[in-house]
Amino acid sequence: MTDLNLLFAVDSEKLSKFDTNFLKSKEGIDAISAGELKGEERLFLALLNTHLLNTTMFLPQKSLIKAGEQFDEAYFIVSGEVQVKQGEKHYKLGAGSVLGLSEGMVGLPSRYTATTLSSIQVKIIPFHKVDAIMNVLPPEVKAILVTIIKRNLAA
Amino acid sequence: MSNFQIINFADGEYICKIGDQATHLYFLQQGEVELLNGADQVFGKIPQGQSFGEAAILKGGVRGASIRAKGDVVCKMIQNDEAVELLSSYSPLLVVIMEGLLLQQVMNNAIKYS
Repeated sequence: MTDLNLLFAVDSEKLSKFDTNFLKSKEGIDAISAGELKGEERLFLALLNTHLLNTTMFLPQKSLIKAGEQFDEAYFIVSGEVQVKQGEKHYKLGAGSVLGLSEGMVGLPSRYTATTLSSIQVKIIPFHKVDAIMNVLPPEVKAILVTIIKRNLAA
Repeated sequence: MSNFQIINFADGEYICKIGDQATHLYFLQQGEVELLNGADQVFGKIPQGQSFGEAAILKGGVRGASIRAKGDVVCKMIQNDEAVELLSSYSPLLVVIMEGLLLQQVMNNAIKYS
């Protein structure tokens, strides 16, 4: 299975060395302005350093999400890799990948199965907390989120 | 919602150009806009009721595409920092959710174009 293509991953080892306040520091702001930090790296650091999500570990061969099934939480991969099976397409995803967020926010079943290939560390985004927030948002703010969800589901 | 400023664009007017600093997020209240690449070729459209510019804002940096009004357009516009403050005012977790959705979008694009 190790010969599967790794289709998305950030360099978590490199990024984890940054100070937790790097994005808000002058050095971090300058790095973003200068384009030295890729968009996905900036987003990875933001999610890595948030205290609002619980972190957990999973052992290899743990099924996180199954195709056709609904699920209660989305996963942000901090480190490690998962294998994804979507129809005939099989590939790997690494650190920085976000599994199931858009689908779960609109209550759709997963289009793929994701299984851990190694021990992985993830941050968990529980949908009951997401739903509680979505229910109180004004139309313009909700539309911003729904726009991104639609783009993700169309991909 | 007082942070949003209403702004009108005439047919053919550029709302932003590729390479511009990403300073604002837009909500398309009325009309339709076109997405253009570096060669000024249209490669997509955004219909009424959707937003645009949100990815560049949370990532920082510059616009990855030009956006042009197709017909008369009315937008609600908000500055980057104010947008983040607005999201945080509902819940700090909302900013995290937005960042997660944007990261999922980057991941999906990487999968799509691999």
